[in-house]
Amino acid sequence: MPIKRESFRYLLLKIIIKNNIELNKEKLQSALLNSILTLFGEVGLVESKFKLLIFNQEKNLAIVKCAKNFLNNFRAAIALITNLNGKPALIFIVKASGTIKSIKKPLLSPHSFNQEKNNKQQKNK
Amino acid sequence: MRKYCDLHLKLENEKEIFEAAKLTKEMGFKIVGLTFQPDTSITKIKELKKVFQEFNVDLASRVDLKPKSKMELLSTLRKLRRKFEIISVECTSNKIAIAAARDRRVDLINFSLNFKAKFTHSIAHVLIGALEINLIDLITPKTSRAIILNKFMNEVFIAKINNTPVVVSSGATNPLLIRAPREIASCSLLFKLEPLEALSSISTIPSSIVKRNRVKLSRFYIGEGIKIVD
Repeated sequence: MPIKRESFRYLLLKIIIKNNIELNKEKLQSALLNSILTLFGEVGLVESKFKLLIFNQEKNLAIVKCAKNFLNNFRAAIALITNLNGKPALIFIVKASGTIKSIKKPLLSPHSFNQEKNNKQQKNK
Repeated sequence: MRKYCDLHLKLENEKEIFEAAKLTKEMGFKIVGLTFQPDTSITKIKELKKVFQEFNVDLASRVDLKPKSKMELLSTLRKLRRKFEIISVECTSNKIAIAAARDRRVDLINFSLNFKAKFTHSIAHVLIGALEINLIDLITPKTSRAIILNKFMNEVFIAKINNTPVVVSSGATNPLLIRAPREIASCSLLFKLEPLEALSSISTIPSSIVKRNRVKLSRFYIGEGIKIVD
């Protein structure tokens, strides 16, 4: 009997912290986990299949994996995060994709995500 | 492609406003509503519009009214309607809520947890503008989040029954409290807006309010359905 494979979404997160205080992967992961846990409970946390894959400290960008069905809930959970490491912070999703390949590009390139986006737009023009 | 709007930013100093302009551009907003004091000069508003234009974001001037009586509401509306593009009323009592809902000059009404006034069927039935939900109440809750979610759910439930348009905005008091459009829409799903309704509450509904008011404020506008044609 064919079994449907689980599908995931890979999300590129941008993190902005006041005064550019350094943040590590563990603290970001615990903040994201806590936010999902408080909003959707333990069942929600399990359903989310959430995993922090990559965190780039220099660019303050992170790649996160979550279940496709949980994407909207994940967005809501990150919208409710106001503090990271005790400092006011903002996390938002820059890009969502079904594969990790396209998400990795802005992390690996020397330019920021916005610069790349602008260059692409100019090329198209 | 959808034009995302956040009609409620409550920022005061210019550094924050500049930061917000940059952030809103990055997040993908096309129209942003910035709250001004009622006595702000038109030149100041124009200056800030230019700041946002540098980032390709359209700024709509907005004023938040918090009247104590019906008479105060009517007199301030008379003074300010021709000056600002969006007028919102924070309802402190049910009487004021009904007066604001019936008035064509009011674009948005919202209900704070601090006051006794509640969004009821009778208000929804006469509402000409739209109901506004500020996410800041949920993001930085003063009481339990469950109470706020319950309040929002009730408001959305009543609005749906009465076909009242709902506008969801961030209500950010500092740039770090601004939320991306898709995140705002996902939060609206928590208080039982349908996915398409959630998206239109941050795109088509607010942009149509701004568009309608700009037409009304233009010098070619005479009255409803009447305008000067070149």
